[in-house]
Amino acid sequence: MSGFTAEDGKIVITDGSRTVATTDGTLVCLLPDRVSFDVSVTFPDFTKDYLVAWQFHQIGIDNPINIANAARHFVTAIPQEYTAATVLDDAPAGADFFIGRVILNRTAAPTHKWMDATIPCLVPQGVNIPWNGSALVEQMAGMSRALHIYIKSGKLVVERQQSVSVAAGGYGQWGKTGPSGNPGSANPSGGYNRFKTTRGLPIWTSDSGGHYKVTSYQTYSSLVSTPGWNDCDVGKSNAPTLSDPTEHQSTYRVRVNGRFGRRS
Amino acid sequence: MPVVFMTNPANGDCALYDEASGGGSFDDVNAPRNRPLKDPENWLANLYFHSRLDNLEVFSDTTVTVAHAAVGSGSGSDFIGFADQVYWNAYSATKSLVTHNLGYVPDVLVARGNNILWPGLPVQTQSDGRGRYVTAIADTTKVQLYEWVSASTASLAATSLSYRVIVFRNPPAASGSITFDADGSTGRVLMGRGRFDSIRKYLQVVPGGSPLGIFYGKSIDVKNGAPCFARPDGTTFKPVPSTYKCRVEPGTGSYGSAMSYSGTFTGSTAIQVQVP
Repeated sequence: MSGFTAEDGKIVITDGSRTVATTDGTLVCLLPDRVSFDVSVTFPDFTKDYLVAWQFHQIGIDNPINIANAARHFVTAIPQEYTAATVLDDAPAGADFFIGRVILNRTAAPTHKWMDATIPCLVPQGVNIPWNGSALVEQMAGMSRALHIYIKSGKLVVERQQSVSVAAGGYGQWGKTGPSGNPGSANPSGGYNRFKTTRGLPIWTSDSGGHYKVTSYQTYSSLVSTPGWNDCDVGKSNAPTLSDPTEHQSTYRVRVNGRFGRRS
Repeated sequence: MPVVFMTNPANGDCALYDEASGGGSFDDVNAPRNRPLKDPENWLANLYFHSRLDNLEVFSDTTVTVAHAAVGSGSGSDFIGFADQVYWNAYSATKSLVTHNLGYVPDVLVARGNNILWPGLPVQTQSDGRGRYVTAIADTTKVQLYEWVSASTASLAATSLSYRVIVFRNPPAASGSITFDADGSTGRVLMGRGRFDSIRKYLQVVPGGSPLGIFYGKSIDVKNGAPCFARPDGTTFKPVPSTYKCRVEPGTGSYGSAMSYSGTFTGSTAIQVQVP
């Protein structure tokens, strides 16, 4: 049956077997005027520390001793959970629904790689995306960035969320503590990985600019200092530079176009 | 408050609503009790229907099968040592869904099974971190599907998946002079000078579920540098396995703790909608 009826305390509009509308709140009711928002949101640079990774390799078994000594500086990202919201608008009274589309553009990308890889944007840029919920915009080993657009506590918000994982393992001393005078037939090696304040994920280094220093020298067992990394330590003559040129913040232009409404 | 169906002959509006407080004559469109009829933008909470509001009329409802390509195993640098690996953004592509030729960018819902897509919804997953994630995109003539893939040391198989694409038409402008008409022979109901017609299909909310779920709030959470994806059907996908660990190399030290998702997210409130 098709038509307009009042039954069981409800008003019902039907078309054949279809229920088209009822006072049970069947229809979504959207306000007629579209609203548009154009904002920029930034995922901040990660909280960083450093790692100095020293290693040695001893060649030869007897005096004089031939040693290759290397010290590398890494920028590290330490564990982090970050969230921040930008309010686009107050939802109109009675509105509990927003339907629309979003155009995302990353207007500022990280200046440096993450673990040797460029951080891509995972969302198609410059196109209309029918939106509900969230989007993972960037993801690398140990790092996530997500955008959420939704009605929260009566306000339409763009919320950004950023997370960095637990630190890498392997800090501290490994292998031999340093060259030895007479290791027999072995070619000893070892190293020491130290942090400044907090362990983190190594995310960047460079073979140039003093971030990686290699020294090869010959000495005698009686002159070898222990631990062998002393002269590569921070402030010492063979220490790598600890300058951090990296900037990993990302900025997105977020254009939202849609309508508030009520699902009854 | 009583539920009222009333029309406004001055502009052709029709509305079904809970009366507002304030009284006045029931047949006076200007009475306080009838404010939801005259001022729907500010009385949304009282409205079940108003001909001036958009009820999302369906322009087309099409099911499309998309052939997704196989993606080989991933690769990456040996920057530091990993006990396991997930390779992000190993592949991306754009697929065609439907052509609508409406001449404007319409509202669109794309569903995979019972789940309406949010940007990057996982549609093919493996426990070792392989995943295929899809995003709907729309322009003035067509709807497309963008996908990206996370890879592991194994390949991700090709697959063909069906998607339901619902394109909504912008509401028509008022035309003619019929404020309300219920045809006695056909049962067809017209309201609001052509803005509502009961033979058209509209998006509906279905209390109790089925068949398409759409989130009100967030669909992703991130924690410990890893994501958790939730679907309106209640399932989740956490692509980073607990075996995903790393250590500084060169070095022979232990791997660190797992870099997998460490939160408790299971999704937001989802409403069920249908297009009958």
